Amino acid sequence: MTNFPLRCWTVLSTVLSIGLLFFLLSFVFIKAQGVISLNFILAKPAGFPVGSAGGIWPAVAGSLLVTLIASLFATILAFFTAVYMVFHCRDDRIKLVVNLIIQCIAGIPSIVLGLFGYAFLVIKLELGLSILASGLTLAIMIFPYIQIRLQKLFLETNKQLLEASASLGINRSYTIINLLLPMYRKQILSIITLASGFAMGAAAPVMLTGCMMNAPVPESLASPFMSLPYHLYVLIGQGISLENAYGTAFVLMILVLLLNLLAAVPTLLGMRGKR
Amino acid sequence: MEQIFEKLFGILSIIFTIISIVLLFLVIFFITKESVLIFQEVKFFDFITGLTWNPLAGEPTVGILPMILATFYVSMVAVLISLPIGIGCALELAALENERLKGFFTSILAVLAGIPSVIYGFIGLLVVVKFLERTFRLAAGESILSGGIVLAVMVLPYIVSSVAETTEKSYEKYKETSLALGVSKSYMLRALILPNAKGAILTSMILAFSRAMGETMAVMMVMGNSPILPKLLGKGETIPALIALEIGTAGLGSLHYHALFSSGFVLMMFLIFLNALFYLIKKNLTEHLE
Repeated sequence: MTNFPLRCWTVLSTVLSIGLLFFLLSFVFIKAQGVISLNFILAKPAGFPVGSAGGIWPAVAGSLLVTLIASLFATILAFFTAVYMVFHCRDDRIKLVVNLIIQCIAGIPSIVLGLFGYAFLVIKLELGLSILASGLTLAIMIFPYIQIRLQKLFLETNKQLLEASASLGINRSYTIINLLLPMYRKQILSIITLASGFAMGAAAPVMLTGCMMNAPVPESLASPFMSLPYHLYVLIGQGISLENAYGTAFVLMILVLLLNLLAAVPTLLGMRGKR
Repeated sequence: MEQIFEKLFGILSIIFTIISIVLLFLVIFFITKESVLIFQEVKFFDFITGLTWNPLAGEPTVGILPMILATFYVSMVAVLISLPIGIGCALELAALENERLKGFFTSILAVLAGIPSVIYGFIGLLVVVKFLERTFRLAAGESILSGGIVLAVMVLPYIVSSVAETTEKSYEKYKETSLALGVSKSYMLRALILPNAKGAILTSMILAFSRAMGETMAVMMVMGNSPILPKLLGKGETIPALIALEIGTAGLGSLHYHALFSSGFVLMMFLIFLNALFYLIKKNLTEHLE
């Protein structure tokens, strides 16, 4: 192998992967043009079979709500776990075991987490097929993602800063809330939004734990719900409506891209500020 | 007051940590508990080497060898397609001096990783499957190959970021020496950076492989889902697809139900093993680099 083919190879791979993304985006955006309207987004699914006409509002609302529940639970658990692991835990064996368990869960596929949600949350805890059961299952799915990154962030904190704070007699909780959180606000927000994006796009765990083909906007935590990825799967999998499938894919893609963008903006700004 | 809050904060962090760990432990415990029941009726060895899956017949048989093989096959195809492209990207990323271009490329990869798998499946069905039907004159384009192609795109960001982590580091490390020796950038990439990234390429393969094996929706939509021994241009069904498609109709506590949990268990154990391997090799590599 000489230099020229190598350059060709690296440049071609790069162009190919950038091209892939633009192909994916433009494919969905162009095909969805005819379907997307305010009415499509805000109307209920209708027609027979359900979904062949009408809109996708219950799915949009369901997806947003279940993502909110998942992010809320996962963030609280992940934040306190990371705080405990970095600032409170002094036993290396406990640290090792906890890190190992979290690493293990990070490797479990989402469909198996769905099985767990079904057997434990839906049946054993009698939550039923509900948005709460789905939200908790998704929370378990994104928990390792958030926890691992928060822990890394806290570990990289300047030790002198923490020592100075401690030697002034300031409480640890005060230091964490008033010093660390504002300092890492951008990074923490971007970690959480990226994780929410994963939760929003996941269909496998929710289809086992409470997601329905047709349901109204959930009224309580115990009601079943519709979600965009599952709705898209049903529309295309059962050949109900290709048109509406394009529309649903478009809305889902926009929502996930928005979350990605929200996650990227603070970091980009932050990077520029540093230089 | 402040002291009380400090105490409360400490207690809260312990409580929430315990909750998280118990919850995570419960996942492994519950899947295991629900799946071992079946091994009173079927031998574990028969379960993973059986060729027929027919849990609803009068005399039910549950063998998941075709699904295990299909899961491996499709993941292997995906990694083989994705690896050369991923390594190429990682080399280019390492050698890019322009910070803005680098940032742009990194965020492109992040967006690729963030696109929901259902959308990959959807586009795969409309583009890849149709393309295979036309090219190979197949009656149905749903095949291991189409699953592999779709998965290849999905695991590409993981391969790139995992390899680039090392290539970028070694590029920074040797940049000035190479410049001083008057060596061209391409030569440096070929003779120094690429051989140096061997370990990273291995870990990226493991990571991509485990991602591919655990993927449900995209694979399920483009592979045709029939529990037969997989061929490259024939249909196949992976373990996640099997679970997703059949758990809804499996009666609670039936043999079918437990068989699905057991196949989830087999997949989970294998992925935990792969993940641990990934973690160990990576830890070894980073210590080696420093």
